Amino acid sequence: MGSYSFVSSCALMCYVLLFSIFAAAKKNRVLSAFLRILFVLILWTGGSLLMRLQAWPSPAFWYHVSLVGIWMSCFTLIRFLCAFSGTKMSRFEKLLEVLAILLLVVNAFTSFFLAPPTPVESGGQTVFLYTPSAGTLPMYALMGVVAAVALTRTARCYSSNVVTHQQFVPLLVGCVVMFASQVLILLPPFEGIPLDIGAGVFYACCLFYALYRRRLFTLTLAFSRRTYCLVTAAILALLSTELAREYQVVLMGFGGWIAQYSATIVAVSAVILAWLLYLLVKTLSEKLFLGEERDRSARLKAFNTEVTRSLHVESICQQLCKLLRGTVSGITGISVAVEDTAGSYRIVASSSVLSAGQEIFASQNPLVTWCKMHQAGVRVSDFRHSVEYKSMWEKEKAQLEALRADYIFPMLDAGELIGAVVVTCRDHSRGLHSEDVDFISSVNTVATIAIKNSRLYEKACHDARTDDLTGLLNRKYFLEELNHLYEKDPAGLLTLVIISLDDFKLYNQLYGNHEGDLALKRVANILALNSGENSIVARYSGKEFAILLPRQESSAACRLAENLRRQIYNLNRLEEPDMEAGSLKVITCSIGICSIPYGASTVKQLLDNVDMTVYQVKRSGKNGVMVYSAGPSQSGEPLAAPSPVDHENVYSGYADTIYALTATIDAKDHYTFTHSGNVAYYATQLAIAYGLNAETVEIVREAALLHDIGKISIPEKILNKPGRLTSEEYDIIKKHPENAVAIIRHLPSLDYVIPAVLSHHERWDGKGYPRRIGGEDIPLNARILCVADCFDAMTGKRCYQDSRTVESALQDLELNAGKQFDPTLARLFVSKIRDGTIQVRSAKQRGENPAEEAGKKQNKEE
Amino acid sequence: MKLTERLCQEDPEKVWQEYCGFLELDSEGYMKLQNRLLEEQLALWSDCPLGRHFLGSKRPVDYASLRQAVPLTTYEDYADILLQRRPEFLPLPPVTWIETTWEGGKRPVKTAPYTQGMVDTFSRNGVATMLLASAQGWGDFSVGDKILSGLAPMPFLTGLIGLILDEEYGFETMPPRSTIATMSFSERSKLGFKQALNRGMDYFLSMGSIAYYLSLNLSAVAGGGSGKKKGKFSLPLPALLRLAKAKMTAKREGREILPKDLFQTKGFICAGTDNACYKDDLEKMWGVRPLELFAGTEAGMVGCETWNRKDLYFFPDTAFYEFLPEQYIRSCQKDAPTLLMNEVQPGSVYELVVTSFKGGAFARYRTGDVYRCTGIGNPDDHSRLPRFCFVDRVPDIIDIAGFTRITQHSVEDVIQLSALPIQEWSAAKEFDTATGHPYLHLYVEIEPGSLVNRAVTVDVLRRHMEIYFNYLDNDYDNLKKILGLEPLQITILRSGTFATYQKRYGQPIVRISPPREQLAALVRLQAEDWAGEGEYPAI
Repeated sequence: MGSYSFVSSCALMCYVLLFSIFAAAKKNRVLSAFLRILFVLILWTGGSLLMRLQAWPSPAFWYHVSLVGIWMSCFTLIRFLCAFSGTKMSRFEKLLEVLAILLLVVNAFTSFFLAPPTPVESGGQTVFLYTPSAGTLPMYALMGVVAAVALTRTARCYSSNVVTHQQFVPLLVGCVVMFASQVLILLPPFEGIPLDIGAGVFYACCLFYALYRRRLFTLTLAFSRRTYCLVTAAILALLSTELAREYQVVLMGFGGWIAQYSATIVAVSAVILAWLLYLLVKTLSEKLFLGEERDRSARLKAFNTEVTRSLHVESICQQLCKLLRGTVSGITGISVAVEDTAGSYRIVASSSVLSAGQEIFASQNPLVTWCKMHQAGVRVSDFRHSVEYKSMWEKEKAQLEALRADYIFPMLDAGELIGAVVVTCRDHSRGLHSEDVDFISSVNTVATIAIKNSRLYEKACHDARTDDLTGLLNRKYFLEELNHLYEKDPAGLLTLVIISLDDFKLYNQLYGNHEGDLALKRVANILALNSGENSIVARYSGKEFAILLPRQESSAACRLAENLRRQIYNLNRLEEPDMEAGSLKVITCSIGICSIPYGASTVKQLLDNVDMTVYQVKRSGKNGVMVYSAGPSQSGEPLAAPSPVDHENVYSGYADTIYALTATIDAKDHYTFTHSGNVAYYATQLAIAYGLNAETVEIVREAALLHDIGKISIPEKILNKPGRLTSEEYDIIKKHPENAVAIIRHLPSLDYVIPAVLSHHERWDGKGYPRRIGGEDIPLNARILCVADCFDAMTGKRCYQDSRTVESALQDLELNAGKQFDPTLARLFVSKIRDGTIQVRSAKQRGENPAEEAGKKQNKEE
Repeated sequence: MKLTERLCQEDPEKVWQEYCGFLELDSEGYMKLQNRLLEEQLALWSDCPLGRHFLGSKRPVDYASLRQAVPLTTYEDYADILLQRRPEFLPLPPVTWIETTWEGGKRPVKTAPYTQGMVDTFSRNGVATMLLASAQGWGDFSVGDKILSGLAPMPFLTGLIGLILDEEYGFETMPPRSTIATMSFSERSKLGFKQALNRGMDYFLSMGSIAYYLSLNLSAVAGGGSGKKKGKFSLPLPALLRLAKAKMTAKREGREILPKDLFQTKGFICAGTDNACYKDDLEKMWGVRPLELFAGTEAGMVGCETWNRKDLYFFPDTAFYEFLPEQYIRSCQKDAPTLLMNEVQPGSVYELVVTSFKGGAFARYRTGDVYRCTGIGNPDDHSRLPRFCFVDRVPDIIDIAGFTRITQHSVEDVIQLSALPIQEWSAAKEFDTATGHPYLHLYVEIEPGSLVNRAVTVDVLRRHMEIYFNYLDNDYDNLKKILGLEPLQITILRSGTFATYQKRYGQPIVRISPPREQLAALVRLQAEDWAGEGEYPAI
């Protein structure tokens, strides 16, 4: 085989290989056009080769095949350019194509334009001689026109669109080389050199490169078992053609059995060679092109295993960072950010140590919306092209610039962005390869699931150790931490501060549980913000908080505690600056402090001593700070537990005072004389009937006796005014429950009656006063008091109304059950009156003066 | 990087989307973007001495609270701070100060600070205008990099356009910025056209009136009048070839050389007022219809037309827009109600009110530019936003061809300085019926006593008044010198016409830009016999 045939064979193999690769690919207009080009090149080169080999059926047949290839190559090029640039063939080009086909058909049957060449033996080689005819010149002229048209279109595509002309550079170069080679082979110095064949290969490679640059296919497409076989077969065919005969001749030269089995040896050698070649091609291809892919797969598998085991977000992010840095070569920087509790996305793991913890964007950043919309990897330059970018704030733009990010891979969980992988590329303008983008997206998906799971786990852990209401640590976890710190360093300095809110039960009763919860949250916030980084703050019990201060002595803790006490004292005063210092809404606290090793040597001692210190602060007037000291002068002796409050005894201690106060009321309001006593009787009876225990019944009784004590500050003329009160006067009357509270507060051990006294004018439907609370938000004792108070008021004589019959009063109670009164209590009371369990107090018992009544009646008649 | 280079490397669709993608926003998306940028601006503005000067202790965080806290403002409200050019008073430090004329004679200059963010937005929207000017449809654009500029240099806003296109996007402006600092307008124009003849040009940027003048001038130069031969031979070969080709085309068609014979212009952008009266002529001369760009010193580049050259859309990131309804335009009511972009009604006329973004100085600022909402959405533009067209400046300012700003003060000053015996007057902007070009029409009534001893013809009045208009406002002089306009026409009315008008209609006629019907009634009085309607001074 001559060099011409060898080059032709190589070119043919090359075309066939490319054709087989692209034939398997998913087709589009451009790839189909490229396949057509390859096909005509195969016709051209294959026809020419087989003609020279004078293969079956005849050289003339292969000549015509080759001629078809040559002619149609220009038209396939034009069609390819049209597909590549998104344009259509012109009418002229279509006309030329039809003419060319006609010419080929005519020439195939008549050989009018150019007859098949005649093979002539010259110097041991076969030379093909062409004989021009009358039709040859027009044929060449037409061919020239077609070539010119194809070249013009190529040049036009290159120059007309400034936007895409770089994409046409390979096409232009390929075409110029191709056409130049056709001209050159006509010149004597290049005679016999297969320039056109070589140029054809170069041309195909240029087209291949143009397609690759436009990312119309990926290189991995080329690597399959079929490609390896084809390459092996091609190499083997070339080797066999060139060497097999010589090899057999050499074997024949050995004589003997070797010569006898030379054909078999050649065949076996060919098989072995084919096998070795296949292995070689496969190994080399995979090493060169697929090694990276396999390595990635292995790393991805390992990553999957690792992250599914991990339950810590930080660990997952670090592994993700490590994997991507080690696998994707085009990356210079990578950071993994996760959404924090404040809605900011902060870097958890990064290739740069300096950027750890840095905020990359906040939840309201338009980039977050963009990421949610696009889901897959977002190129930051694409975002900069978007309308959303226009709505970015300057500081957000600066933040994005500082990040130097080229890609952002969002971590989306049910449409919500939980984190993002931020990638900086080595080549900012070219970015990452599509395979790299796909790989990062795959890894990101795995990491997203792992992070989601670990966040759920972390949340569960967090929930288990924190208090729902305040967000502080709960008691259980706090004690664990306390023990842990102590065990870690039993001789170390450890200070415990317990903050107990004063009268908080009363606060809850007065302002409702909602207000109470709000106050607890605010207190917790004060403690969390002011206790310092190394402290451990917890909600120790309902109204108690604890602060653990490792390596801090009592004096520092005392300063901190005093600061906290002051802030808590001012908590509600900030909202209501006019609030009186003695107001019940002011929250005070009693704080006890104890330290290891000064005041305790074990955790148990520490807890006990702090508790005792807090108790001492409470006993000594509340709203204070005290450090535990073991010395007797400091009352550090263990104290006996306080006995339960004996309300009857407490009351009796103030009996004289209360009597004096109620007497003053009675003196001011003649109509309510002994009203307090009557109410006490009815309320006590109702409380007993309701099934309350003796202690509560006693509280009800005391509250009933004191319930109108606030009227002491109301002018007598209003209290005794006959007829309707003006709205101003009624407003003054409505203040008496609060006035009562203000008086009772000066009797420190009687504060337990305050809720009932304060709320006895509240209505079940929420329309009462002073706080307009309703339903069960009204303390039970107050609801009892309300029924008793109204019954006595209705059945007694007042300045503004005559006394009503018992039945009428009972009917009124029934009618207003569920409106003014607790329906259960009202019905219970009515039934107890009707069945005689509760006796109606007589006029005398009620304190009404019949003589005075008769006198008044007489005066009226006069 | 040059825009053309960028387009070679990037998908043109992305580039189009970046600059012109806002046209696809709907009203909701538009307002979302506006509100977000307003939030940023309010945080900056509330925290600087300028903002505190207006706000006191208030801290607006959104449009509703801004409206509560700040009334409508005019330049007087900012003058004390901005004319001092003290950056420490501003929300962000400015990178440049842009100037414009304020009120001839009395208050010559207005200045406005431009921060880096504002300049960036300005440049992006400038490029959007370039793309739209060369576009034939959505995303169908072509870009060149040679710009012939007929715009005034810095510190005017038009100069900023040239600056950013040159420095940030690598456009080649002709004449180059480095050479024009000391040149007169005429020298600049000549040099620019000479360079364009030599190198070709892709875009032409100018004010409509100036473009018209330059185009006419170019025709004269290229047409080869006497004394131009030497100039022609000094042209380089490419320019001569271009000229020869243009001459052949013109000769073949039997007409003078037109700019379209010389240049294959991709886009023609014009700014300023009164462009409508030049557009048709310019299109004939250039073969491309000018695309109007709308910008103001205080507001920045607010909007531009699309490829259909009919509808104006406002850029969403330049400023927060409010629209003052027509009935409040003449009033000085500071708390007049305004509408937002998603509230405007097609067919209604509004004055534009802006709040600067990106650290700008102005809040709820009345721009004095009046627009009509022509409709909402247009499928051809891919738009769902309100469309507008420019109507004119507010009535109390007469702007002639974008050059002068004549107010009641300036006319009063001219009358006072000229000592002309003008008793009553009213001024209006009118358009020449033949050419369609704008001019100032002054309707005057002469003091009756002066007619005995003074010559007060129309010509005398015009000459006198023009001297003082020139004295007070250099730009007025440019109307004549640059544009060759006769900007002033005077009509002398019968003595007593203004008084009769007031008597008959119960109110005096408005001095500046009276409504058309008022002016028509005033002129009609000339033809009537109203001698018996009252006592008028004897002549």
